[in-house]
Amino acid sequence: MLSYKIFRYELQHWLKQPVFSVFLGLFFCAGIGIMALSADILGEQSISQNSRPFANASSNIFSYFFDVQLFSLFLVPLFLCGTIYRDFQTNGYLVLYSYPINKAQYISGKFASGFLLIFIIQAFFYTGLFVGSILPGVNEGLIGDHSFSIYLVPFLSITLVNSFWIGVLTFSVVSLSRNIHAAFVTVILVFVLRRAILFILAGPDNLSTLTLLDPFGEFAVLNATAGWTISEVNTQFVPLTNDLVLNRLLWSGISVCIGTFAYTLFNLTHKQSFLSFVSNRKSENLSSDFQNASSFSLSTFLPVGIRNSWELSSFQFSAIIKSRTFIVLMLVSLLFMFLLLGQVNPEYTTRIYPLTQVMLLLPSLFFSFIVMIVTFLYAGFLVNKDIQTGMDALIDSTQVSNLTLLISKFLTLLKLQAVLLTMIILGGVSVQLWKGFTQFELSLYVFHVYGVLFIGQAIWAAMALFVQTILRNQYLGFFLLVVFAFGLSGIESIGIEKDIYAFNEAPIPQYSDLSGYGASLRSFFAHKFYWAIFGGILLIGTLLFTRRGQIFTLKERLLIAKERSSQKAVMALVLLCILFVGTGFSISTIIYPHNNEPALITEQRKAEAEKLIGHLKNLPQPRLKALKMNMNIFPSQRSYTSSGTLYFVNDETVPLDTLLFSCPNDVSLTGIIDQRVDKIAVDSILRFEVLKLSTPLQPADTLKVNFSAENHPENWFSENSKVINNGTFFLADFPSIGYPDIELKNPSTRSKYDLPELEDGKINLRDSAAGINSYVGHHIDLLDLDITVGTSVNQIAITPGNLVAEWREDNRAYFKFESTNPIRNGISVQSGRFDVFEDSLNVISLQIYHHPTHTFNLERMMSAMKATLGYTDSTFGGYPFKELRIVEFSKTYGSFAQSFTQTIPFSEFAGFFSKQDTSENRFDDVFRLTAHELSHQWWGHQIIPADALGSRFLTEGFAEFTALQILEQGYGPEKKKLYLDTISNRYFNQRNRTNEESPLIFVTPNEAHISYARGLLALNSMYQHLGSKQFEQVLRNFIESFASKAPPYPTSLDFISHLKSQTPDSLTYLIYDLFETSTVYKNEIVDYSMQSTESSEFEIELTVSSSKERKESKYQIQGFDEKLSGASGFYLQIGAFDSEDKLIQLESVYVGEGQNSIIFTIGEKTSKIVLDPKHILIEQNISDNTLIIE
Amino acid sequence: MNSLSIKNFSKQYPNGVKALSNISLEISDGMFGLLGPNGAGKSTLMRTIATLQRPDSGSLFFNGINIHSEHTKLRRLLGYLPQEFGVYPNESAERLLNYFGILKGISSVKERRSKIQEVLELTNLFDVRKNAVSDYSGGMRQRFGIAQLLLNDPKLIIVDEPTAGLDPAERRRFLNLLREISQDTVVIFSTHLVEDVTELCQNLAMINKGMVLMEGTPTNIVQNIETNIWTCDIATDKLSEYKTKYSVLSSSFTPQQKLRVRVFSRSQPSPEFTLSTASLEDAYFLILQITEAEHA
Repeated sequence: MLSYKIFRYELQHWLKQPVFSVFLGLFFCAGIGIMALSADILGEQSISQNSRPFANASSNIFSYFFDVQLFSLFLVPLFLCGTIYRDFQTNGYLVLYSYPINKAQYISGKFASGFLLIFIIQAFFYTGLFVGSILPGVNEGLIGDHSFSIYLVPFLSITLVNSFWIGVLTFSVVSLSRNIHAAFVTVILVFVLRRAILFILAGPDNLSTLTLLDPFGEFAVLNATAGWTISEVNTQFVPLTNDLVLNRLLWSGISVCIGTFAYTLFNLTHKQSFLSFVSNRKSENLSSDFQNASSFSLSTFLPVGIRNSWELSSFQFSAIIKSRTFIVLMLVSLLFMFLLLGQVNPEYTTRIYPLTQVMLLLPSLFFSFIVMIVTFLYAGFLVNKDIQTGMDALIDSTQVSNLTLLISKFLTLLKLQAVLLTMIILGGVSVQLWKGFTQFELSLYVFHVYGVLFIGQAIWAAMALFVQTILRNQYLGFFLLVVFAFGLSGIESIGIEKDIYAFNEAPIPQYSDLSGYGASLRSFFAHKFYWAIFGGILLIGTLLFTRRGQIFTLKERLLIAKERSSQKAVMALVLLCILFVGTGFSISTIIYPHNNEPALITEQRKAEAEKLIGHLKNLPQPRLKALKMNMNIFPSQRSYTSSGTLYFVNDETVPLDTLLFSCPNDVSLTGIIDQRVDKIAVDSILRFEVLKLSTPLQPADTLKVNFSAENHPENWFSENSKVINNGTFFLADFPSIGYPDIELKNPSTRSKYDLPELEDGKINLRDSAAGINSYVGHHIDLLDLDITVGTSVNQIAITPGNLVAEWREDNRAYFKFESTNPIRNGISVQSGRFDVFEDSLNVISLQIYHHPTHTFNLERMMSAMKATLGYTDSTFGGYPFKELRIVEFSKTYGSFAQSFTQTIPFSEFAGFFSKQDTSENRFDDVFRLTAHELSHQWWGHQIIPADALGSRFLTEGFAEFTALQILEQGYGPEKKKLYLDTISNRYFNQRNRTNEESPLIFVTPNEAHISYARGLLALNSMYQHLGSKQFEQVLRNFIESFASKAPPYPTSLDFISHLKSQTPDSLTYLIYDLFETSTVYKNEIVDYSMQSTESSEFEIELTVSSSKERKESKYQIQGFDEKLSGASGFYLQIGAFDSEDKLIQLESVYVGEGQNSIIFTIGEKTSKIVLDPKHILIEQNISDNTLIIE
Repeated sequence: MNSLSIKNFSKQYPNGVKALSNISLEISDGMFGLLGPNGAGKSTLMRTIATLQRPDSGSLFFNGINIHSEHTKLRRLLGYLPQEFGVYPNESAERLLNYFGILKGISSVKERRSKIQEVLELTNLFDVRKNAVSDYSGGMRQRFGIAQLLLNDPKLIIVDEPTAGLDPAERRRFLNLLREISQDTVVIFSTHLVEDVTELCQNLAMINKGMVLMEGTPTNIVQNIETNIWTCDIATDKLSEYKTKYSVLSSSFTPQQKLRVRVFSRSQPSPEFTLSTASLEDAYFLILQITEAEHA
């Protein structure tokens, strides 16, 4: 009964607290907001109800809660631990403990009341979700049936269990430490712990362990709903799987153990705590570090005010840093850093060498966030420490100025942050040592951590002090700061894109071993300078509102702030505001200069231009056949100039006199040789001109056009130049001929300006016009190149073509490249300080141009080059060029690789640091990526697809398929299967998120999961069904008919017709299934029976359920009769395995839609029957394809 | 000669409680006692003089410094010991005093060190200087309060009920310490114990219900009622009868289990009363009685 009294008393106390109502309101509103926005209350997107699941679908309710999990957990120390902490804080426990209550009554009363409080607040979140779903104005198409259990299940299984176990944990910490800050730190540590678990257990092979160990149970839920289609999401409840239940039991169990242990230690007596937030050395040990602390040498050089602040902060800092809580925090941070970096596991497929830039890249985001949260917590602690210890009156009546006190608190926070950030360096260096990696770059560590990361943290410290000073409740302040910081990361989604409107945001500086930080650093510092000014304004605000002495009303507070606004303070404030606005203005005009013209004006301009020259759209134009160019790159000035001549030939049968040219930025047309021209129309903003030749260009005649290009001038803030100091990579620009890209695409915009409707020119692949232009440019065919590139004397420049000469002149290096036979458009220009790794295969010279220290993977890349050339040589015919090279470029441009003729630019991050890992669930991704890019030398450079739907299938799908064959040759069928399974997962993950899917032959450029993933799966399936000989014949024929010839350029239909010519009638359904529709297969063993026959054979009768599933698409194949082609059924392979998992028999049977009865006779005893054992069909769920026979 | 001048000072709290109304006091060097029951407004007055609270109206000046607007100037001369205070946990006296030394603007390390030693010795805390103040006993803690107060050689010292909760020996030590430091300094000292004031103060003011009721030296105040205090022993059940008949100031038990009452009267109230020596306590009770009667 006493327990109940404590419970009731505690509850009454808290229900009266305003802070309780505030949190109730916050969570309620958050619930409403999340649901209403998900249900599109703003009506921004015109979503049909097919393309998005219901906002109140069961799995969505779970995910909404996981979104607010972080905030929800901070309720635990605040309210649950608040109940017991209150007694320590007010010393009320001295009185309470003298009452005849026992430990159990006391603890249970306190815990139950606190738990009920957070129960109520979180229940309000779910209530808010429900209210959000019935608000007027939500899109009712996005709201499914209302049901109580949709909310109840996540509330009970996730919210309450997490609150409970973290509640028990933190409650134990507080009852033993008698300190509530330790509870907040504990919650932070739980987050760090979870992140570490996630990191260590990344990858599909660890999924079951991760599901069990995820402290929040999120992965158990994700697992249970993995692969759900939209309609499943809409109709099904998230099941309470065994995994989820086990996970919940595990964490509750762990916390109960900890709780029980703490319970036995806890005493209802007046005892010193043994966990503490501030230093708690034993009294006798409080020996004088005072002597040392006060004579700290740095301080003697500072002006008195600053020196005092410094010394005060040293006092506060040493108290914090010696506390057990902080020591634990540091150790866990270090451990986390070590785990995070030691694993170096960004994607489960690859591991990376522990380069310093890699060490710095990984922890930046998450750990910075942890440092921020710690800052928020300790800011509250520092601001309120005097009042909470009761020392405020003593301190407030001393002569120290508010400014000195404020600076001391600010400095204390900075010191804490610096210590925590140092963990990044310690973790990084120790991981490098551990891995035996000795390329330390200590200066890079120091610069990145203290020069880059620290600035942002310091600005947050100012914000934290401001908020904690304004608000009286430090936990509310902490909470709001966390919400604010989290909210910022999602700010782009509400349309604020510029960093000058989002507090403390700045473009993250990218470090590259080749080019350093480059210009990104200037822009970063410009933004940080801007936000630091804002931080200064916040600090002045903090100063004005600092609580000193007793203040009773808000009015009094404002009055005091007004009194404190001395002339100096106001001047400083005004100055900072002017500086802030001025800096913001210069950043927005200098760094974002391209946004100057409003979109509406550009739109009008385009509409007018189209009215002016729209009639010229289909005007025949000469075609570009050759290019001669001189380019000069100046890496240290970060600029380039170029000039050259374009050779256009009239391929038409009539003379041409009207020409349309467009020039990219930086490029200008400088003259047309041997011709007099009249300018009919010029638009300097849209950058096109229409010219009329005085002498029409006769058929087969050549027109020579001169051009020049010059770098856009570089300014201090932004990166206009494509050239960087080392590791430059860009595409050479030159004028193009033909109708300019001025058409407005949106139909409603077009009708607004009375423009005629656009026809979708890409749909009709059968039109003979489809093959006129390739996907890399209109009015351009294969080119003869003659390019000379000059660069600084210590760099090497590379473009497509053969290197025919290199020389030095005026302390510059020049490189001349020529094409031996015409090559595809696309002129990559690269320059850098490279070492060259060389080899050759037959007569082809192979080179890798790389950064001197990036030597880890050269052998592997080279072996992949050779393997690819070896494979293609025997399969497609010889490589038509004598030189082939991979050239590294700076991460500044991204972390990808791209194929140009004879030249493959590779980002330093695309394979140069990846570590070879041949363990069971990994494959050599560097090898595969290199093979993929080299395969493009055929798929994209020999087969140059027409500018039509399906073009990406011909490039990416085929490159993937070729790379797969090479991977198999290099590493065997197991790795091939692993890669196929990986890709299959990727494909279905994407496929399940949409209701529509283009068939492969109509794939659009932005459907990567179709062109790459389905492309690979479909080609592999076809290959397996036809057999390698026949399928390779198809590829060979296809290449022979189109390689290096143009136009017409091939479309996906050309491939299909080649394929059909080699495909037996019995398999034509496959072409329809795989390429012409988006079919996937479903097979399941429903039942079986087994009999042994006389001749010691076994007869197995299987009942197999089979079906096909297709998605709709706006692009459909015409004129195909499904029934005639037998496309309702398909061939299914059935394999029998012995007890050692060896395939003993493989049969192919034709199955139809629905249940099939299959009799399978087998010579030996089998222990396993598997449908489609080689995964040659495109099927998502293969777990029901296996039958184990006892 | 320092002087503190308070004129027409009033303060009302947001909850409507009028803490002080129209207080005027002139205080110069020496110990000045503020005597009054709990809730009389002593702490409000002292906090305001210590710059921690704003007056609603009136003016407060110390040596020409406007206390309300020249906080920093005043705080340089101020030593304040509030009625209740805490310290950062687990910090030694030495470290805390060093912290206060910086706060009080002693920026030279050497100077700070010698000053800390001086105040530790003065308050007899030198031997325990390395122990945590949060573990100190009540008396030691109050002495620590004095030690921190003395760091800046204050000219205006305000101590709010410092003897509350101290045992007699500690109380004695503490009062002696105060007396020692009150040379050339204004010390304002509040208490609800008359004996504290009697022993220590050159001047005092009695306040209740936010008003100054009497001001002067202890001798002057006692002189006013020198021939007006009468006493007699009565049976315990007679007390209420006497209370209605006479102006009873106080009563205490005698060893014979009788009550000895003290009564204020211009002339002998009745024959059983004998004239007694007036004390400061009598004056205090008399004044409290008058104000209670006025407010009733």
